[in-house]
Amino acid sequence: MPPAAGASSAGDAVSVIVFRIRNKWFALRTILFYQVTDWILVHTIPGKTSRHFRGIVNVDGELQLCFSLADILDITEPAEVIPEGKNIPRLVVVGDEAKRFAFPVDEIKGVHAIFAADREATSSTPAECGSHLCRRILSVEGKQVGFLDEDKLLSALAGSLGTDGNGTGK
Amino acid sequence: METERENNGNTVMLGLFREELAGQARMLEAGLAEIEQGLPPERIEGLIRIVHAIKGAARLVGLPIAANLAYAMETFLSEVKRGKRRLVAHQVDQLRQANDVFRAIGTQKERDIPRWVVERESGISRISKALMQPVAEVEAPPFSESPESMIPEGGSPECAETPITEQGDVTPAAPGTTNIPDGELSVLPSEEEVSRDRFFCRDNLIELANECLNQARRIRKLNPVLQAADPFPPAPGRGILTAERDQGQAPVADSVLKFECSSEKLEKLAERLYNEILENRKDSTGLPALSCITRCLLVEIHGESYALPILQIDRVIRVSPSDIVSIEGRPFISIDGENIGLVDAGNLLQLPNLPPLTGHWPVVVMENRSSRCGLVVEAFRGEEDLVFRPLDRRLGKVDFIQAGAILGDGSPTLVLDMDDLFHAIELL
Repeated sequence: MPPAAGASSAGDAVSVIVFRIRNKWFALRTILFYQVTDWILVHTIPGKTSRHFRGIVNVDGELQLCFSLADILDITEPAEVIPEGKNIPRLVVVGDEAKRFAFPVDEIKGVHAIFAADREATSSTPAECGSHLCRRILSVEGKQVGFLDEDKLLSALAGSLGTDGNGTGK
Repeated sequence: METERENNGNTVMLGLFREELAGQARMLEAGLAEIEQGLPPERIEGLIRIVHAIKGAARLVGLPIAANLAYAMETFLSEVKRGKRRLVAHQVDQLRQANDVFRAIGTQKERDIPRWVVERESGISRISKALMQPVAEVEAPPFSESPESMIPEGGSPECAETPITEQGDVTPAAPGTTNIPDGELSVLPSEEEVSRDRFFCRDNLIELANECLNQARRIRKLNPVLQAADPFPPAPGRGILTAERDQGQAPVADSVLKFECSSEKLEKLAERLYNEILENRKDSTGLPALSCITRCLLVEIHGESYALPILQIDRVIRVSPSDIVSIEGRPFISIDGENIGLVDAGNLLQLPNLPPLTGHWPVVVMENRSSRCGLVVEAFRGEEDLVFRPLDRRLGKVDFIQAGAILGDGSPTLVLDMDDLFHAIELL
């Protein structure tokens, strides 16, 4: 039996991974993720490391470029107090085969299915989303989650190599 | 027997080097022609990458003179890109002369290349020296103001292929020939002889292919019966090569795995790699791009690890403040009766918020062909065999950094470019 009008169906679902950076939650399409791994050491690059671009990391034997998504998203608020055991920093690698970007997150909530009805019923102004890189706000398990616009995000990550790249420090 | 094997291997590598070089020289030639037309700075980056690749490959095949020439070109072009140097006509000619050397190497037989280069050392070094001439000593009108001035007197592209004399004069070359240093003329390869589709020299892949081939030969020598076996006998020999991670082999930390393998399989893999090198298909075998292992000294600079190839290090010492003398405001130490200048590595790399050095300074005494200098670091961390990995292309050229690498504990590190360091220190 077809779903009733307005009801959610598996066909229109989008899989996203929900993660936290400081005190804000974000979602990004799962298909964009290349890897999620434990937080690992970043090596700065003289003359290239900046507030947005942090350096290189070793992800399974490959050197990946590592960025600070918190700074790219202009998140200035400190992280909320998280109960011990839940605050597990991870490094995620997103992008495609040719261009990959690694960045640390403070917590991975998990993989969630977002249905069209959910995507369309929520607010969408950048101010409400909390970042210019979000397309709208989703509600996931009672949390307000900014649904990141992948094109804008990848473009911002790539652009952060060319700007503010004059070695302003670790 | 061992020497014969090494010679065979080196000849194979020289052959691959020559093949790559021919294509790279052609791209450089096209790039230099574009420079005359006003090449935008971002395009110069491509030329820098080409000469950087030539530099690495020349070192790998044991041609330091050619490597120095490539380094001089790289430094020159980097300064142009950064706006530190303005181009004038005779400097483009110098770049062309340097490229003529590469083109000429590309026409030699593999086994003749080392002798050919050594015989022309003085002329090649003269070109390198001219390119490394400090910016302040070069009288140069702004490139953007007078692109026509890029064309030397006579106006034709052929006239641009000119040798430089001790005095910096230029003399036109005969059409169809190139002026090789020391006055020898060589016929240029024809259009058909010059491959059009060569790109960057993946010296590490060459090394891997060469290793495969050498291993295959070794197995054959150890197992003569194999030579008559048809077509794939059981694997009685042991070969060492890098595992293909995507074909059922267990993934390992550094992508290097030892396993038994028949000589035929090694030969086939070598052939496949050679073909890939020639066809410029990157990583399609699933093999990691790098397998060249270099013994390195690990040091700490600004709390992070950096690697320096052992071959270019004279010694490591700890210097007490009482051993340091100041000459014209710069610190020196005396080693073997020679004053060695000291340079702080953190300052050289322009790292921010450096802590003050206290106690005995750890110093790496580096040497090149003509001089020594001391690089002051924060600590010595030991030695390690490292596989050099190219940094992401999106970073462009990183000053003073030759490559990246992964240490035994899995942490990333950066390999310092000793030539870059020496050049910067000499300018100081």
